[in-house]
Amino acid sequence: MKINLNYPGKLFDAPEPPARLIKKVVAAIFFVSLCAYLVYPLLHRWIGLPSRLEIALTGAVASIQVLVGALYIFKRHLSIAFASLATHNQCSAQAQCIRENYHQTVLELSQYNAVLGSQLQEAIMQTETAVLGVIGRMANIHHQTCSQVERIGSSSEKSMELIAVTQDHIHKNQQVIEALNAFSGSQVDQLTDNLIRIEKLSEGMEQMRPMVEDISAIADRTKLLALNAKIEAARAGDAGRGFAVVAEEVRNLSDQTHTLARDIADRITRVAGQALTETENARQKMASNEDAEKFKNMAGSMSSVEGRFKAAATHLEEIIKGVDGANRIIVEEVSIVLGEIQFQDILRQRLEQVHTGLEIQSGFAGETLRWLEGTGEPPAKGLDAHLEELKENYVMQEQRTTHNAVLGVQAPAAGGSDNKIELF
Amino acid sequence: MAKTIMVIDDSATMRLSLKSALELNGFKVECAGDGVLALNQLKIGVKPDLIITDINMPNMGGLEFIKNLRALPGFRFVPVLALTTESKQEKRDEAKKNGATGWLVKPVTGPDLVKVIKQVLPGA
Repeated sequence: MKINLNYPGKLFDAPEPPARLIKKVVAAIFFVSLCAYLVYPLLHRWIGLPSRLEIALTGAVASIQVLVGALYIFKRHLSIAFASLATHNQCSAQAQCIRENYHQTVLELSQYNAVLGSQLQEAIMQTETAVLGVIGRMANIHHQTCSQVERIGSSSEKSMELIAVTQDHIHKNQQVIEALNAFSGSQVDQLTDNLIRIEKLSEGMEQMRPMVEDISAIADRTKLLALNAKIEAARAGDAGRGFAVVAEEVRNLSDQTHTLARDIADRITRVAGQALTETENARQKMASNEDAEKFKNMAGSMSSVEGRFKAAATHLEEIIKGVDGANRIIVEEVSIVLGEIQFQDILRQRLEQVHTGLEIQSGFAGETLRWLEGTGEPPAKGLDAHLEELKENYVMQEQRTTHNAVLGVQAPAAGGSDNKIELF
Repeated sequence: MAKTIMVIDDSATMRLSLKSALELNGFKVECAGDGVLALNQLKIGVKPDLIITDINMPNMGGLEFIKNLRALPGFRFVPVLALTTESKQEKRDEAKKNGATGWLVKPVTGPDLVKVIKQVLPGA
């Protein structure tokens, strides 16, 4: 129902109840009869009409006639009047009921709007508190992530330093092993040369053996010659005495020479045998090449360890890069989430606008009620005007779009920039 | 040295979200709840390299703040970005006339905001 704001006075005037109208008609009949009862005796006295009782009866009859006539005349009108009275009575009751209901409704509406408004404010505060908590937690997550990355970075730096130092040591050890290996090789070469020389020396000594035997043979022959000379000296007598001494000395010398030659031969045999034994042993050791093999194994182990360290360093570097990359993603995601959290401010503004609308509605209902009760002026603005004012106060295009969509209004072209970001 | 950015917004959510997002990206952030409080901070010696302000605020809105800021000595050329839900073109035009450097409509993500800041604040 559209309310006419230009209606003067009360909107609903209570119609007269039908019972009261009937009472009026009856009173009128009674009044006419009374008048007739009082006036007819006077007329009888003055103009000689029948007795008072007759006049009264006549008056009563006349009144009845008038009543019957009146009833006849108003027969249709009376039935209509009764119907109207019934309707009027019903309408009046309805109006009273409506007024009471409206009064109650306005009171309840104000309470209802107050409750909704409080709920909205509470919801805004709750979302704000929750969002502030989320922001705090996001900042804390980021802080923790940064600390973790710093710790990982610090430990990785130390690990990398350790790996570098260890690699350096391994490299140096490898160089030492290579040097030792080279030294071992040169030693083996020298040993080989020495063995060859010893073998040659041994061979040379072996070649001396026939010479010693020749010396020994010469000594034997010299001894024999000395014996013969001694015999010849004995034959010569005194003349040969001096010669005999010489022959004796020659024999002694040949004995000594023989003894020496034998000793030399023995020693040559012994030395040559020892040389051969040592040479054989050295040759066997060289053939087994144990040291070189050990050095080679050590160098191999070192290379393996170095390789593992290199692989560990690479793996660690990859982990650090991965953590750093993940941290960058977290920072970006947190930044995006912090931007999206701005929805709370947008929601707050929209809910505050709804709250304002509810307050306007309550005010309008109160004004209307006071006007209907006759205790106030009609509302200065209709709800249409309030709705238009609400629309004027919108700040977001989304608010206007929703407003126009509900009212089925074709939105005018914005005419401004749609850029979310504009640098002047 | 980290650049200082002043954030002016009546919404605690906006202040904290912008502060966190900017601090994540290495900026130092000062906050104020409206234009009056921001001007008071500037008068007592806070020297931001860039200001981000809301437009619709109690006591003193963003448009009036920008006008007053440009009248302060030493703040004639400080970049000012308006970050708001306001969509009316006349408000945007007024901000430009009062000396704003740019206009951003909420919500703006951290990476987008940092991109704009780097455009208007060389060396950031």
